Amino acid sequence: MRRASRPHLASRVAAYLYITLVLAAFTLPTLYALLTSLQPASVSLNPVPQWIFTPTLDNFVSLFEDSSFLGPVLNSVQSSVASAALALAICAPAAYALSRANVSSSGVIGMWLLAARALPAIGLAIPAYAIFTRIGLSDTIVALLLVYLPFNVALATIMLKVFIDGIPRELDEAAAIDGASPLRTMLQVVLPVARPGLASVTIMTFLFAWNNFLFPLVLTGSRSATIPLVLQKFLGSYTLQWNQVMAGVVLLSLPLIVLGAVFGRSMVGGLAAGSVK
Amino acid sequence: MTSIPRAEGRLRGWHLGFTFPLIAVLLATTVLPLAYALALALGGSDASLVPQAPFGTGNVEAVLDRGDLWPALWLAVVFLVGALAFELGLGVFTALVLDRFVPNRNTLRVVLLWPAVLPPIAVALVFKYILQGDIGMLSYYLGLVGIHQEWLTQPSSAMAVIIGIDVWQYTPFVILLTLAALKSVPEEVLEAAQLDGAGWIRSAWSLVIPIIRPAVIAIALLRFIDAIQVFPTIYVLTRGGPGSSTQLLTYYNFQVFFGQLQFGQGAAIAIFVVLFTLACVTVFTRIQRRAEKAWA
Repeated sequence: MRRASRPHLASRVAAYLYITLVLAAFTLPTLYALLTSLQPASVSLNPVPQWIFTPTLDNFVSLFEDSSFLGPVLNSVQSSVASAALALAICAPAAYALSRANVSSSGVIGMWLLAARALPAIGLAIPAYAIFTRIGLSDTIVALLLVYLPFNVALATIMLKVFIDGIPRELDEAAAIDGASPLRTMLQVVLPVARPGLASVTIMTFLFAWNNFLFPLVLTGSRSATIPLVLQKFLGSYTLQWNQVMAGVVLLSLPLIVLGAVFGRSMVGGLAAGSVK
Repeated sequence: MTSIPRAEGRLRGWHLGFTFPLIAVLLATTVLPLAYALALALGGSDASLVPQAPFGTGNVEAVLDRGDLWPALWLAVVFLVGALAFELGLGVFTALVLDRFVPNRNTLRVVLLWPAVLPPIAVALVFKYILQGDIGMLSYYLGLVGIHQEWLTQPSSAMAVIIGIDVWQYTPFVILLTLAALKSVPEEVLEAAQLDGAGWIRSAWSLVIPIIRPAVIAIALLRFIDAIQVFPTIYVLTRGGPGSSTQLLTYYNFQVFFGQLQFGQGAAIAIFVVLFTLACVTVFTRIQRRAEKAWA
């Protein structure tokens, strides 16, 4: 549907009007949330929506003055970073082998990965809760890492295999002729070329852990709660202050907004992985 | 690698070592817990998290007797059909418009990506905020144009809100993926259509959409996997209510196990949710494969 010919003026006006409307609908709620996070209580309590005011960072400051917020921030960072690293360490060799060796079982593994990717989280959360309670792993970050694993390894292996498939085999063959072992070939020849793929896998697995709500809700308590849980608890407090809740929302979303702006292209591929072969 | 049979022979089976960690992880984190869930479903009781003999179908019968599983499944289907119809319809249409009228879309791509990467809990909180009573930003402006509605306390509008939030968060993502798929439409096909006098709408409908159909089915599958699990919006905005009008499958399962602490029944429902989802995914991939073959 490309610029085969210039569309009529009227249809262009209609199209731009439509696009503006769509973009406004998709950006205004987030923009308003951002504005609220910068409002002092005197402004945010006004029953009429306020768009113009003197911004303040007080809401963010008071979030961090609250000692019960810092722990969850650390927990969120730890669990997200660790689960991304873990997935990468497990999936890089597997994706390499699935791409290069003609493994007879690769079809089965592929289906298993797709099933793991599609596994409903509640179906895993329930047995995980029962098992972790029995073996004394409840309310730990390790528990979170374990339940994130199947989703992350599925996504990461599928993505990485597609990426490595696109790297010419001649590279490996040259290394093999020089006497390099498969491990060395992977580490020193293939993975450096696959760096963009590794980056998007890292981002997607980080994102999965960072955004997750159901697993922390049922598996963590006061010791290993993550930011999403704290935000949700704000709702139950007597003095519900939306400007502070929105500050928390902005804080939780900020890393993703930044990642999206910098790595947009590879994230689109990542979000789509597992569907398009 | 046929040129170096010696090295191949020496290293035969290296891939087993490379894939072993993945397979071990998959066994430990999918097969093992699902087996435990099955054991709990067949031998768990209301009070105990430990499966005990005698194993039987007591929990399954109890779940069927409750009579609230089918309504929860039905609500999930209503949600899925509503959300996917809007997301795909609006997403594909907007992508076609963008493709035709906005050639340079690099900045747009970032803006369109953002909603999809936001934490669902953050989106849920934002919408709870802008929809509250008469003073939320959205309900305030809707009130100004005469739409007064207690969005979250009426069954039908509560479901509409849950669907609307999903549509808000993921339609831009569908637009992005459709734009990517549109790149594969051969220019010559369009030019030929134009020479034959087909207008934009005509060639979009009868040429472009059939070509991108496999990609759209793939996008639908992605959305399905996510949407069947919708949870944070329900947890934050409605808690399954009013009544049980937004008690969708996942929230219902959560409620039975973690709310009512009926562990055996909850595990039985979990097994059902897993089987139902995987069956739907299988059907989806079949349809997708057929659509690809039809085009090729």
